[in-house]
Amino acid sequence: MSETRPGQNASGSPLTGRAGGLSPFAAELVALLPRLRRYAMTLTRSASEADDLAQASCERALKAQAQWQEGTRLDAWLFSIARNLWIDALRKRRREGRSEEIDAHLDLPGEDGRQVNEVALTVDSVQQALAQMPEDHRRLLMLICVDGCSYRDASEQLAIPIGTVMSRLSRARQGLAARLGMDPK
Amino acid sequence: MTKPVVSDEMLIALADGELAAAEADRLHAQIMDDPELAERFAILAETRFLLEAEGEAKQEAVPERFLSAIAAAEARPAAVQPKLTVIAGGAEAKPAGNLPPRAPRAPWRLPLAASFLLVAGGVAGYLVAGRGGPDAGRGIAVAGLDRAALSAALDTVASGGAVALPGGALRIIASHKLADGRLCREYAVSGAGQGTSGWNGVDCRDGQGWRTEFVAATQPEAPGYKPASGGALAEAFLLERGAEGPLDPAAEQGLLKGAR
Repeated sequence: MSETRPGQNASGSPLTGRAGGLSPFAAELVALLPRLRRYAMTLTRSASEADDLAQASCERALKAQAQWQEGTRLDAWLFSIARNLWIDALRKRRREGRSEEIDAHLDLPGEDGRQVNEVALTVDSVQQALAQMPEDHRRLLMLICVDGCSYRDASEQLAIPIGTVMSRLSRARQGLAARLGMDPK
Repeated sequence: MTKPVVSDEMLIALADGELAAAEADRLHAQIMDDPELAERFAILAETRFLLEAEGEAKQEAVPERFLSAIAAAEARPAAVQPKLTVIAGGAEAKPAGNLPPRAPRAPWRLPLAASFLLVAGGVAGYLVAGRGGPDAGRGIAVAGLDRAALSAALDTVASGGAVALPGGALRIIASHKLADGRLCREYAVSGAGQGTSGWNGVDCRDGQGWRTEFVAATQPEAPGYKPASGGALAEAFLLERGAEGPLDPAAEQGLLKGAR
């Protein structure tokens, strides 16, 4: 961070895409932060590590901004950055046998020849994927992931056992990930 | 040793916060030790957060004028650029009972203000209000307030006092002395009308004048949604900078009169 002037990203362009405000890109990042941080907390189960991961993800997103494709979902791109940073840190920790802090300054594009190669989802891709899914999968996904229902609540609303909720949800999430091209490397 | 097979159902239940704590800890430890398992887990967890956007309320939007403060700060690089960091404990500053009801199993939901700080820190602290030269910054509008008017009020108004400034009503909450000896003042600015957003700020004074070092948006009360207060985050910020608590009125007056 110290090498970057306030208000500038790594490429040197000021964050002033419109007069008197953040660039649209930075503003979108701000708007995504609550969700990003909850995702990071799910991955790390540690508030401090989640903060590190979310911050590293934002730094990396800003520095790799040119690689984000306009018209694709920024949240998907940002989440995949977070996922890859987290997994890279896990791999490195295993290799080196010690705790490794997540650091966006590692693996920056241009610094070691690597490019950010993250998920690019079109804006309506999730809607399209949902539309292709069986109705019972779609309904369960919306109850759990959008409405925030617990498995027990979903079980009662749909009048199915919790075991069925879990197995159906598993198939639905796998199906969604596959339709969105989110396969493991 | 053969690794125990972990089903996707278990990974999803972990991601959804449906496992008992002990089971969740055990499975998470296993995930942390197995990058391939970790990737499966991350992808399955990610589907939840992608889907969330399909029904996402706009209640976490950042007020336009709040963003304008960043742009104003960013337009004039500060001579000294203290790094704004995520405030440890900010998310814990309010009990989980204040979290939005639609995410009952998400005690880590980051309040807007802390979210904002997160990105401010990540972007090299450009939230620090600009004061680039001898006369720069004196007239910068910080989140809609005139810089000079704000500085004048910070120089004179005792804690507990309030003044109306163009752009909002300013209420001085408290004065603090940081570990580095600087005087800081914690204040709140209410929005122009009922139901509009306001913000909490902390300005600190050095030999050149006042500088805004912390701002956090506060949101109007909305049914069912009460973000952590900007005040709690401001206090966390001050604690992190070594403040030991609000100054008493005599100490405050002494410092306000000194080195003006």
